[in-house]
Amino acid sequence: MKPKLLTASAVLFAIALIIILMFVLNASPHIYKKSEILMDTVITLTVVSNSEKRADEAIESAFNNLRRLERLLSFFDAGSEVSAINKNAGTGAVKVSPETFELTKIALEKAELSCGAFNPAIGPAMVLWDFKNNKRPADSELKNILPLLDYTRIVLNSNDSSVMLMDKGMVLDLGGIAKGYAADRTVELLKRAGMKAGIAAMAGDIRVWGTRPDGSPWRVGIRAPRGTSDDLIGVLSLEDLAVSTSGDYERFFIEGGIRYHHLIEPTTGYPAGDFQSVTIVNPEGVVTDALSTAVFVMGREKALRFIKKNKLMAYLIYADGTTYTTENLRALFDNR
Amino acid sequence: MFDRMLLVLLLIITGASIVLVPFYLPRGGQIRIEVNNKLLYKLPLSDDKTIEINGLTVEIQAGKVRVADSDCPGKLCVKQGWIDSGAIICLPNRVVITIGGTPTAPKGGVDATT
Repeated sequence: MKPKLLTASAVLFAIALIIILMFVLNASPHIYKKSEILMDTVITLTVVSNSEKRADEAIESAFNNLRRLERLLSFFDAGSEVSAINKNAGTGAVKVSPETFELTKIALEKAELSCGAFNPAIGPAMVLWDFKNNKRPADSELKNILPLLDYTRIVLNSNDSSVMLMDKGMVLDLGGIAKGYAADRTVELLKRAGMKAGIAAMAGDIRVWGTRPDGSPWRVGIRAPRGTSDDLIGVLSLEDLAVSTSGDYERFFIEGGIRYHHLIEPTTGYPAGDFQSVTIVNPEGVVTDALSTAVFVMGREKALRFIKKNKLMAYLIYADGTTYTTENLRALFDNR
Repeated sequence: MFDRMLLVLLLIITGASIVLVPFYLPRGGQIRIEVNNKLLYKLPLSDDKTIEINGLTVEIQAGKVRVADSDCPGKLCVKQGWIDSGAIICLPNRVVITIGGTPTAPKGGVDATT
């Protein structure tokens, strides 16, 4: 072989091998996933990373933060800050962590925005409706607690970061917004840990960032309300967006042919009846979580006006099974 | 001269590949079983086995896992059947079974469900 030809082939060969080696070293990004049972639900964190170790560490620190948030915000944990606020209803203000204060503040803003359809003071009604034992409260019981569902009687004091429920018997319940908030905080944390893309799914309250490893958007299925948990009615293609669905199939029981579910209308104390499910898409999880509940509770006419006024991206399934997709969501939505 | 350089280069690259490739390739399948978010079992997917845990009967067979029986009311975990990637979760019994070490393919073409 001539020296020139030999040099050329040696160089080419070396380049080819270096390229292969670089591929191996850079190990194409993979999807890493972990689920834990927290906040009374299944939380699944997904990240895209080319290092399993870094992915595991980021996911672990995100779960640690979620455990901390659960200890602050839980409605059921007697030691939580929310429980402390509730124990002191009508008697005193309770100093709370920045997170509890911030979330209560956001909850009150969403209550104001939705004219009380989203209501963080819904607690007394949620205590009466027992979805674990399928027990319906008496009409008189519900009537008695209606005056306590007044969110304007939740008072924040930013000087000492305290929250006070003004009337005895009031119960703060951040359950309708805490998971969306947790999704937001989790995405922030995972991004800071260097995760370029992923999904924070607090059951049905989901926030995604970046794309799948192949560059395509994340695909989030919307449950078919009258199917099994695997049956989907549509799929959303999402990048850097959050989505929440409020459905009458999540916590419910059927008595005398009537479906009683957990989306309670605060002016009556009874489940709202116009929808099977409401899906809201927005950049922020706190918005989708609170407003999917709000829109569900508002009922058809008010809901459509509210969606239009606030330019929300929404997918609605009415009580009769017919559906409506807002125009600004159609490009992201595939029917199944 | 060139022959020798080429040989040395090839040897270096071959050596490096032998060390680096297995390190960067994904590891074989592994099953993690957690109860109350505490890791109780870490098992190779390749060993057939049946485990009783927190009211669940978990079966590992031919690189797949399923919940064969459960004392929970809905039995969603049992209905999920055999999986070879992803997770089976029993919320009432607070059991999470995950297949790790292998890249997870999205279930039913979706990455999450709302």
